[in-house]
Amino acid sequence: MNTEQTVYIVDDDSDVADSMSMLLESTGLRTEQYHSTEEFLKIPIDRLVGCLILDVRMPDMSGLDLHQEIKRSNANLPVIFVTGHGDVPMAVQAMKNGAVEFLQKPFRDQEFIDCVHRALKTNSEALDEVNRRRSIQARIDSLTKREYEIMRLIAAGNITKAVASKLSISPRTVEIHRARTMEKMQAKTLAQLVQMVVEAEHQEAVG
Amino acid sequence: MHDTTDTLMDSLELSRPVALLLDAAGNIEHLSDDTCTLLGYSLSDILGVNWISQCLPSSWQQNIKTIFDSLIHHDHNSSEQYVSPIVSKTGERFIFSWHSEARRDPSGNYIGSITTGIKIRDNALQEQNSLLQSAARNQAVLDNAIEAIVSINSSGVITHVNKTTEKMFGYHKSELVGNNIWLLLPDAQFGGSENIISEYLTAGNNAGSFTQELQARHRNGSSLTIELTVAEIVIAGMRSFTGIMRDIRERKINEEHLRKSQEEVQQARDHLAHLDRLHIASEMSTSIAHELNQPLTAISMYAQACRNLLKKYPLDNQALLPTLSRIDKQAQRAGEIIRNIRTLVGKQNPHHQLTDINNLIQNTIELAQVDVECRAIRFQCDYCEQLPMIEVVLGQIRQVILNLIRNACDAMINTPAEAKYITIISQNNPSGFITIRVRDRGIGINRDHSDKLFRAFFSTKSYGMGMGLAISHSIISHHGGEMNVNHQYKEGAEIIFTLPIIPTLKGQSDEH
Repeated sequence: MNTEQTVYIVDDDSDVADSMSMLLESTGLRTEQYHSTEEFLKIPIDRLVGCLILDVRMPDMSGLDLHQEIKRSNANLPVIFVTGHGDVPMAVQAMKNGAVEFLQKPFRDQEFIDCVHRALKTNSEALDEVNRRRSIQARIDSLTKREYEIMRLIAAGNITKAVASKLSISPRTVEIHRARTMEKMQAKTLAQLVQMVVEAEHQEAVG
Repeated sequence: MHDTTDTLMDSLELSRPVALLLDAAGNIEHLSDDTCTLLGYSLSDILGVNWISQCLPSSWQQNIKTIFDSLIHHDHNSSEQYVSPIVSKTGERFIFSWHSEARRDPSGNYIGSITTGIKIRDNALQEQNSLLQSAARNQAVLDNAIEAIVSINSSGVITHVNKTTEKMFGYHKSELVGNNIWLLLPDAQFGGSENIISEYLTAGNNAGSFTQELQARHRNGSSLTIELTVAEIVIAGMRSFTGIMRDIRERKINEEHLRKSQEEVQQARDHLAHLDRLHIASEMSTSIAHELNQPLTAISMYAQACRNLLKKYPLDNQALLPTLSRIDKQAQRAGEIIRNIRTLVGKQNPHHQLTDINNLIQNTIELAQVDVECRAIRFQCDYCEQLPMIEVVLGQIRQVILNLIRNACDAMINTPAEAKYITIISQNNPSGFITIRVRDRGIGINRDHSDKLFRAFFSTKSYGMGMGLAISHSIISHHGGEMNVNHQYKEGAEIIFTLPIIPTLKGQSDEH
């Protein structure tokens, strides 16, 4: 697990925030406390690593609104909602919005800790995924125009001869470009290369 | 004590004093038979006729009218002795010496007069008779009084009684005069510390007059509740006492009815106030549950943290101490919340307690802030430092303030967060009241609603019973204060209520 991860706690009740923080720190986690959404939104939330524990009801801005704000900022921060109300519609809404968990106070400590660990795991997996995608993109960026062209054609299912005829170059040249592309893309098999191209195209189409 | 009064009384029997009752317009309400005979009218002829214009010679009418006007206009309650002739049906004149007394209703309005007169045979007798006239006047007044009037000497022996005494106690005058006053007031004789009459009798110097409620006895043995006023008269070193006794049984019964109905109203008010508190409590129950969950959650997590610390540093007890104190603090916090709830829904002390109003306001704000909506609101308090402690029913005034705060919160639902303010001001009013103002910056009070505002079951909210303000208003009235809307305040709503610094509560007599 990523050692840089921090558990951010946003709760207007400073005593509850303090107790959560103390419990998590006693298990070796890093925590930071904020006692209002306003205070929390002052820090650059899109760069935070870890997870967020959020009280649903707070005087200045509801936890649900803050969650929406976080999603808008594209931050990768799993959210655990805590509430003293056991408000079912609110829980449903929170889960629809993509919250990891919805805990009702007072909760069992192990349940709480497990929940935080799951959220952190989600966060680190997401981080790994982002990193993997970034590195694929970096490899693609390292290709020459010709290598990229040939990779796309191969990934689309064309055999060497067909590629050669489409590009009006010799099959031998295609073979050389293909070998260099496989090397640059760190693909051990053709299947791996195809998968990377598909993902990259998908990324392009999405974002 | 065979004094001059007795002689006068005897001669009065011969001189036949006349008495007449006039109404406010001066028309005859009643005339004694003798007077009718003298004037030559039958009673039915003369009733309702104007006394002055019918029975006085025209040359005298203006003068006598002036005397009555002075009674009507409150200048005097009784006239000086005055002399005027009267004219009979046949034109015969008789000279009388008169005295008139105003009759007033309990609020002091003139409702007529009692006029007594004594015939003067000729002018030479006038001087000599003035004493007789005065005595006649007194006797007529005494006999017409609704009170029993009894004179006793310094040994407590009855010397005179009026007619009302005979009626009230069932004795004939002859059975009373010469007997001791204890015949009528047996309790006062043996009443121990109540034996105020004995004390009065034995007191060396003039003790002035006093009024006391006590039990008297009728001839048939039944008991009468009377109000006794005694005045001492000292003539030529001889002390005598005149007691005026008013039968107050009927008044007592009325007082009892009044007290009972006040009690019922009080009970109904208390019951409604209790319902209102339960209603507030049920509205606040979600908030209260949330509020209790906070410290419980914190305690649970601190405890787990302690376990983790123990595993990590089994030998370092010091590491646990800060966490243990925090657990303790949270337990206290939970206890405080429960205490707050109990002050709201628990059994209330119905009695007046000396209370610091500023302190009460501050505590009530804390109670209101159990509610998360209310916690989003900032309170600005402007307390008058020189506020005297006042006697109030603590729980009820707390309820009033809580109702006003909660209404203010509700009114500011759509107010932007940064403008959510409730201002509470306490003032020491020079007119002997403490004034408390609760202001919000909400939607305000529609002028059309302001007259219905304090009525039961009136509510502009989609929820709520419409009882809060009605009960608050009733609680404040019962405390002798007032509750109003200040329409001058335009930024939201302002409710003002006052509490008297010296309580003037009817209900207070319950505590004596």
